[in-house]
Amino acid sequence: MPAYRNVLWWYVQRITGALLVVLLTLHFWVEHFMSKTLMRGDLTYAVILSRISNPVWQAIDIGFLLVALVHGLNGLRNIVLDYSRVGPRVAQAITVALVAVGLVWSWWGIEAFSKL
Amino acid sequence: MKPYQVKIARSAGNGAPTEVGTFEVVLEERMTVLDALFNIQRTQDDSLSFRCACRVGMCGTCAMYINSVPRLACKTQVSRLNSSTVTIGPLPNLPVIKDLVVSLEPFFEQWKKIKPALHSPTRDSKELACIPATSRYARETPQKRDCITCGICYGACGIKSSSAEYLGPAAINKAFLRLMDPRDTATEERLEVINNERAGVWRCHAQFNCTAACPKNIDLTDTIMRLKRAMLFPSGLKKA
Ligand code: SF4
Ligand code: FES
Repeated sequence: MPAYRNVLWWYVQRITGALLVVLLTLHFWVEHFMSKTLMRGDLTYAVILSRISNPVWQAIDIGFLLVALVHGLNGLRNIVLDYSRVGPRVAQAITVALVAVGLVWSWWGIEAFSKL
Repeated sequence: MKPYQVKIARSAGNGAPTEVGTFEVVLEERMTVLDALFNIQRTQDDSLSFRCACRVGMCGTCAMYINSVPRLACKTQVSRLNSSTVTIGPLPNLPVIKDLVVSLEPFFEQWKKIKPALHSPTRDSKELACIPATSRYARETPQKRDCITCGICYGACGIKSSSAEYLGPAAINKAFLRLMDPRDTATEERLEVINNERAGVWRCHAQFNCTAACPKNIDLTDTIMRLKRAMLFPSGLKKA
């Protein structure tokens, strides 16, 4: 008996939710609270550039972007599906639109690193 | 004996506007909401409509919305509501026929979709199809088999209030029982219904309203969550 496709999305939503807790905490900690330069008050573009040029930080940031997009857009789709007053065709159109938003946004975020 | 003010939603049904009828009654300590309704019907307004049959919490026909919670009128003692005002309305998420009487047709339409009857290849056999007491079905489902189809979970469900297609907790619970039942063979058909993106288990967001309201203490949210997890390896449902 095959596993159903919907169950995979259900698990993905849970896993990305758990990852977001970790990544968001890390993000806030590093970006807003624990940066020594930020605390000293001399945060400059060069400081930021040196961090986001680091491939490890780039991987974390891209991962964060993708996880947040998958979780957020899939969550939005779930909210749409919860209201069956939206007919199946409209729901399908919304799904396509959300996938498009996800792809464009991913490309936009990842492509930004190539400009460093 | 204590005086109560009872506010009842009155409606001629078919989408007719609802008015609130206010009645004063004096009730004894252990009297139920159903007793209060009979008292009002007999002494103040014989046009008041409500439904009941067994009066002991077995048939499920007296389900209504009492002080903002779906409950069985015959199992709800007025004194336990801790309020001198009792507000009674029809069960939510179902069409009103008159006053407190709702049509359970939408509830049973969803119920039918999951094929509630046993589908067994030995259906015509004269032998009794026994379930071994040691089987997983016998061990894990006793409470879940107590459903009286009162519709309370259907009325309590927040998702049901926004989605006409959602099966609702009771139908999903029935499907779960059949899926676990070692005698049943309609597994694939039921899983198709349960897996439906707009009507099946995926619409449940674990609000727990159904579990909190069920007069038979069936943990419906547990049922739905177990089904969701099981969809990864559905064959595991039948394991002994
Ligand atoms: S599961 Fe509980 S609340 Fe729902 S119909 Fe059955 S007895 Fe009523
Ligand atoms: S009258 Fe039967 S459950 Fe209340």
